[in-house]
Amino acid sequence: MPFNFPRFLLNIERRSRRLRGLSCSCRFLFYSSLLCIGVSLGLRWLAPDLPKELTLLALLIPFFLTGGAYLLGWWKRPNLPHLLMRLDDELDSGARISSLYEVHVRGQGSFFQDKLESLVASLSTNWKRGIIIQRRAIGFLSAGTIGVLIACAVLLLPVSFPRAASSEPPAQSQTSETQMPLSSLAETSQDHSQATSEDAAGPLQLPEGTARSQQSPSDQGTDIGPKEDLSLDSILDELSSLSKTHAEVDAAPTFAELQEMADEQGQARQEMSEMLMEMQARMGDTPRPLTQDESKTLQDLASQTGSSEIEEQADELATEPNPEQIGEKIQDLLEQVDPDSVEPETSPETDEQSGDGSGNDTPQSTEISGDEEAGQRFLERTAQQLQEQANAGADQEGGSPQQIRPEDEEDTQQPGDEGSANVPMPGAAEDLSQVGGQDGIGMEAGTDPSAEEVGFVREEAPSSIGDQGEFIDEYVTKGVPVEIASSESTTGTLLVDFDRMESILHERDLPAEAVDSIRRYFELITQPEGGS
Amino acid sequence: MILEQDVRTAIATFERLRSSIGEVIVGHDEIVRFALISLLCKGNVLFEGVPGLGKTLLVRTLASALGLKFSRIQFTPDLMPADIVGTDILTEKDGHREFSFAAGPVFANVILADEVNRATPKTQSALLEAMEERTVTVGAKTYVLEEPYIVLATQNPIEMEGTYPLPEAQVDRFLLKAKVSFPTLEQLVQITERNTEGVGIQLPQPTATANDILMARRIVREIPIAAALREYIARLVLATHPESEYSPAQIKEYVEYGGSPRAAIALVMGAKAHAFLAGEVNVRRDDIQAVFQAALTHRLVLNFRGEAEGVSSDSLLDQVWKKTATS
Repeated sequence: MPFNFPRFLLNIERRSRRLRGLSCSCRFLFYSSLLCIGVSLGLRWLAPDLPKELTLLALLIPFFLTGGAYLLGWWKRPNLPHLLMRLDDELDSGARISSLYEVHVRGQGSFFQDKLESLVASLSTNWKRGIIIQRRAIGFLSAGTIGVLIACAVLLLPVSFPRAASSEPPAQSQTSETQMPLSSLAETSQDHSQATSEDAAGPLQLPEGTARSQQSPSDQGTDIGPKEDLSLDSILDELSSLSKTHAEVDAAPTFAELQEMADEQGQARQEMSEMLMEMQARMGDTPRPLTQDESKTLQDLASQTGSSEIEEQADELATEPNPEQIGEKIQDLLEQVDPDSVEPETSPETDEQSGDGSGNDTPQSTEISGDEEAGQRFLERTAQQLQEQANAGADQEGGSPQQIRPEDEEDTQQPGDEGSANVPMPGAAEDLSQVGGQDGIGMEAGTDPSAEEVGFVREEAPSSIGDQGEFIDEYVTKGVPVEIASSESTTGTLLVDFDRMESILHERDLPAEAVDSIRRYFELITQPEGGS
Repeated sequence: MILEQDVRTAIATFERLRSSIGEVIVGHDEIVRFALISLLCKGNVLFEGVPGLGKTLLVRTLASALGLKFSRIQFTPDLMPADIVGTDILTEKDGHREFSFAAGPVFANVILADEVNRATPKTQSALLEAMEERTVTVGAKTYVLEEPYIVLATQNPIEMEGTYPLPEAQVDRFLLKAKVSFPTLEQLVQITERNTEGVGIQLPQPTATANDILMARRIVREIPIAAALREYIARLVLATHPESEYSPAQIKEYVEYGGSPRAAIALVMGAKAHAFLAGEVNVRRDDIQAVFQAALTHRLVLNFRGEAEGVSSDSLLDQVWKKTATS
């Protein structure tokens, strides 16, 4: 069969295009596998609830891109002269294929064409070894395949991502409940002195999941540490998803209602505190059991504080028959209701409580207020969700959202309990500046009654300037023979003691020219009319 | 149309030619090959070497083997252009006086311009027209030189006193420049033996005719060269220009001007002739490499820095070849 050079060229071109397509597809497989890994991680992280079928579509990305790349590489025609030259070099054929192509292109039949065709025909048996896929393409293929496998593993293996780990099964969340302090709510309406010390005093019953979600900011600051991947948005998304699984949101109290509740509780505490102090003062050294009216009033006020412990202690006080125990119980109840009224020696204990994760922990507040904008969004959204959760909890209990279970209260007041609801919840605060801690940043001037508590002392330190002022001798060059005329008639003139000046200049051993200049200067300044 | 028989005959003729030259000239195979390449490419060649290396003998041997008319011009400072190309002289014939043209030594087939750099530029330039256009103009009349025509010039690179370096325009007209090296020990022994014993050196009998040369020239022009190799040659030439994107750093640093388009033509034709002499039916990369230095070394004009630092054109061309060959 005679050698058919055009067909030979066609085969070379086809093989070149195929290999070029393969090379492109290998390269794209690698890059798209990286993309696929990124998408897989994103899906697992940001949208873990997507159906598996949808997530598996991410695995198709590399294959689509690889197929497109193959078509792209195949579609572009190669530069035939260069391709043939490369083939000649690979086959070490002495540029015969290229030269024969040139002869064919020119269409000149000659001895050289026949001779070259016979030579090239001998090369046509093993010409394919001259056009092979590049090693780099094989490297891309291997890396791309590994990348796709990694993406598969990311999508299919049940690996717990930080995002997925925080969303625990709803059943577990529903079994336990915890308390959620609304200190920030109280702060917006109560005096600061009460608000700063009573973070744990106004708990509301909330599902544990919600409480844990509410703890997230502080947990991130204390337990998890600087995990940047736990964004506020993801936490809020989780909160919202938990809310839907835990409670119905029908008839949830509004923010204003919650604030009103907090006001009522604070008011009740204050009235109770005043009543107890009044009783303490009235009884003096002769304690006696409470009267029926006093007991009833006290129990009513205790029930309005929203604290089961206070209620319990109030009941005990009301039913205490032993007069000797009355004073002590009044004191205990007073400490519970108003820790500010406690003796100074109790402060360290309070400090310890606030230091182990309570709401007054300044570093935590600083962390939250660090990112003001995100924090503000977080606080607002959290407050709303708290209302919903509180309402849901109330519905489940069949009582008021303010009702507290004793065991929860105990949990809340355990110092050092990291899982407790003592975590600061400034989220309900409308004004982020109040989260700023004790430094009073953002507080309105004149509305900070807690200034004394934090140790600031208002003190005036006026500077004193005498009527005439002080004449600083050090600023006058000593020995200058100039005196200011004291009489009004000679105002603006200077009197110069020339003899003294001469002696000074003489002492300083100045050149004669300089002495003359200085003398002329003083003569000039002592003659206002300009004459000398 | 060129037939296989024509090609085989031409190749055989030049094999015989090379063989007969080799019987006289000891060594210098590359010099002989360059001379034949220039003959096949309708070009001229410049030999550079110290005196006594056999340059003149080589040219005379070539002319003798070709059976062509040979002419030798010894260039000296007082040589005038008319001494080369000829002049009109007043003659008296049949009682009438008239001017008749007395042809100079340039009217031959093989011209040896010995020590061409010893003549003044004016005299050197008298060769320009003959070398390139193969014509000579005297007065108002132009004379066409007979083909095959080749100028083989020699110059002494050492003795610079009283010499006039060839201007770039004239240098560019030489297809190739070959450096005649000193013979080796064995070659020197052989040279003394041939020159001192027996009847001495005898020039060869003609082994080719002018028609054989012309036929071979046709065949050389028909030898195919791949388009990629043409592009490669163009890149090589461009790489000798300092402002070119293809040029290596040394070229940019030491070269003032690179090769002209004549250099590219010389490379292509030289490669074709080399392939013909090698018995190949197409130009290969090796053919280009064989004539690369000879076709470009005299076409590089070094700048002041290159001259001051004594940079050689050959080393620069090595860089060009390496860089362009791998790109």
